[in-house]
Amino acid sequence: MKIKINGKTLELNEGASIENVILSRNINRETVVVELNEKIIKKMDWKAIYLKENDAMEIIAFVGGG
Amino acid sequence: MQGELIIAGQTIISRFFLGTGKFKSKQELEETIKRSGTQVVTVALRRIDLEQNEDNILSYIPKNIILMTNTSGARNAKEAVRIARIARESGYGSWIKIEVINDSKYLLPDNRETIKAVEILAGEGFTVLPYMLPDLYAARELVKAGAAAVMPLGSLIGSNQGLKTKSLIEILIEEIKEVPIIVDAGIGRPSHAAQAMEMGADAVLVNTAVATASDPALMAQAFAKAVDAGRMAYLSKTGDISHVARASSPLSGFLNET
Repeated sequence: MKIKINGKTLELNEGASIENVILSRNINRETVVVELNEKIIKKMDWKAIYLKENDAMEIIAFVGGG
Repeated sequence: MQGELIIAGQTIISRFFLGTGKFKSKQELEETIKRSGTQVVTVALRRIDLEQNEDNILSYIPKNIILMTNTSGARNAKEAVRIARIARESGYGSWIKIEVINDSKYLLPDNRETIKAVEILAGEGFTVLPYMLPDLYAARELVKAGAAAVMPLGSLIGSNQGLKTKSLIEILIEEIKEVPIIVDAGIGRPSHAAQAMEMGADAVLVNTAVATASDPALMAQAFAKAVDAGRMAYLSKTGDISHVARASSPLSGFLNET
């Protein structure tokens, strides 16, 4: 299925949860925040939310800034 | 405000706040934070790079430092509110620097959208420090909206121009007594920071002048000393300015008197 992550369209297997996406890309789960379709998804809900065709996910982290 | 600097019930000893952008390396940032004695640093939120796993910047910032997440990238109040809520979700979200900018040439803040963002976020319990174009009416609105401090710009972000808005900042210092005034943006030299503190500002926020110095940790130490010097001068009340000379040595008992 096609979904958008951080603005990029990607192919994902059906049945992938947010947790799957984070783990499969070796992303540090302690430091990122996830938004799905413009809604913040709490970490404890990542395992239970499965992505659907055309979903838009944002994976956000802290960086240096003034 | 005399005495201690207190923001959201926390006493801040160092009146030198540091921005963490533009450092050549995270190690350099860590060293700079340590040597400057700063207690408050700003950070930003961005999409992660899916191709590369970047080192987490938070692991280079000591745990006792107050993190102030800026809403850089926000072009209006709605976007600023979204960023603040994301910061909160991360667990580091209580202090937010509202930065609402929609021009890329001058990076001037939009006071009107900033006021709207402060109203919403202060209402949700955030500690909000808005970055603003110094304007007395806007500053009053920001205080009314619940801002924990007001952060007028000294000059354009990253320009090192110093206190181009000096007389407007002086008005804010004179008229706004309810919250601290923190000069943010354009401070290019420790002498600019000292001047802001002599005028009565409560703190300064510096990023570019430190991060792009050839020795950032040393420059940050210089800034910290300048902030202390300016603060001490302000507390001991600097003298007035005269257009004629006023002798420093006695005017009688000269050796050549007849």
